[in-house]
Amino acid sequence: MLFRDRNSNDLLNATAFLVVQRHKDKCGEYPTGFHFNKYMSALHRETGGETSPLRLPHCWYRWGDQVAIQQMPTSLRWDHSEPPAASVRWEGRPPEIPADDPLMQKLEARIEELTGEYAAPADDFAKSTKLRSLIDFVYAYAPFPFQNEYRQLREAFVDMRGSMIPVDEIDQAILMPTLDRAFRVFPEAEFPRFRHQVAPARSVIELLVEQGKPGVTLANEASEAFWFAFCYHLRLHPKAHQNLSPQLLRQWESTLADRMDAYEAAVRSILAEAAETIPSFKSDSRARELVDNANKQIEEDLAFIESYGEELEALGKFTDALRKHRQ
Amino acid sequence: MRDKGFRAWLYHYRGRKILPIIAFVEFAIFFRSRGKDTHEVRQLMKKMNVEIEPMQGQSADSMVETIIAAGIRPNTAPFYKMWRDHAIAGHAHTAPLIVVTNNVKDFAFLANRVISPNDAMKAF
Repeated sequence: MLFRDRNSNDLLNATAFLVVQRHKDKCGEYPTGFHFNKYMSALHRETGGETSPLRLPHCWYRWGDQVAIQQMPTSLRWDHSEPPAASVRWEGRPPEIPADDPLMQKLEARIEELTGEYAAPADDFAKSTKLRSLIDFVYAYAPFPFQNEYRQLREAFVDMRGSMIPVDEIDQAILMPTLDRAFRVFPEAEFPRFRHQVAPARSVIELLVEQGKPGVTLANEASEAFWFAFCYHLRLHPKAHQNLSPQLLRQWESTLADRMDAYEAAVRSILAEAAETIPSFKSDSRARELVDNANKQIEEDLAFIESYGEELEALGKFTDALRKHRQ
Repeated sequence: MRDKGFRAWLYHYRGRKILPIIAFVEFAIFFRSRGKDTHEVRQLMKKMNVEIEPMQGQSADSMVETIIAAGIRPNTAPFYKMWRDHAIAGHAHTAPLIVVTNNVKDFAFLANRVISPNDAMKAF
């Protein structure tokens, strides 16, 4: 299949532009990346999904159904790589809107409805029930139930940050059952290259949650690291992306091994920190082997790095000399 | 990475870490001059979970934008002096990526998107 230039899809140009403008018209601010992704996802799905003439380049990733920025019109500007923190705007000449196209008319009408219902300033939105209903709306058609279940776990961690109830009482009541529901529906058959990570991740998160407040912060971090690691595999799954160039998919595939190495290193680091800072974790017999293995690998890695210490120090002096020479 | 304390901090830092390809080339040339292999630089970065990132669309566009914004004209002495720093900075094209360098002064065009290693260790 040939992929045309990212600016040559008139319908996509017009739709993306109108989404940005109508959202701003409704609430005075440009849409967050979060809003933008959800609107585009809904429009794409409602115009046929896989067969939609919109041909939206998108994948399921960390924050639900997300557009592939690399393949979207170049006039769209994102000021942050994470959708909840990003503001999306259109820069440059507005595209031509094919106003006589019946599909464009349908899209325009639906954009009015969606922005009318969900547009809100970023600060207000985060606090309102509109956020939850927009997320629910899109996650209802996620390709794997696991995504929706894990979303509940991530939200539970976020909700707990502001909780007035002592954390020790919450973890058993809320986090553990939510964790259990999510991991029980992990689609192992669909992710053969990732499924071996699931049980160890669950063990680590549960062990940390059991430590109460200091453990929950690290449990949240371990949970996010696991989710991000999973999402590198998710976006490559054929059920979880559409209209992506083979080049982009190859690029993502080529970084997968390194991403998994980084994930495992992050887990080791979290275990080491937990052992250092949470006495109850350090003395937990179930954590002992995990921590010992983590610390052993960390020591080996640091020794390897320091074996190049002389070269790295000399390199620093060399670059300083180069800059002085350039002045 | 000349400082041992920073190296340990960088190793333990759990966020995303990128070495722009131009900086990797400098590393590799220097290491080769010391009798080491290019492969060893890659291994070292891998141990620290630092991605060696090629220059791609967004990085290149960002590099162009910062050079233009700085008023640097092509084929001039400032261009040849500064293009490398702009190429490196291009990799921090989108927040939350920032440049960590001992040469904060040379990256002043990045405003609050550049930080020294000491400040990075305090901030993150």
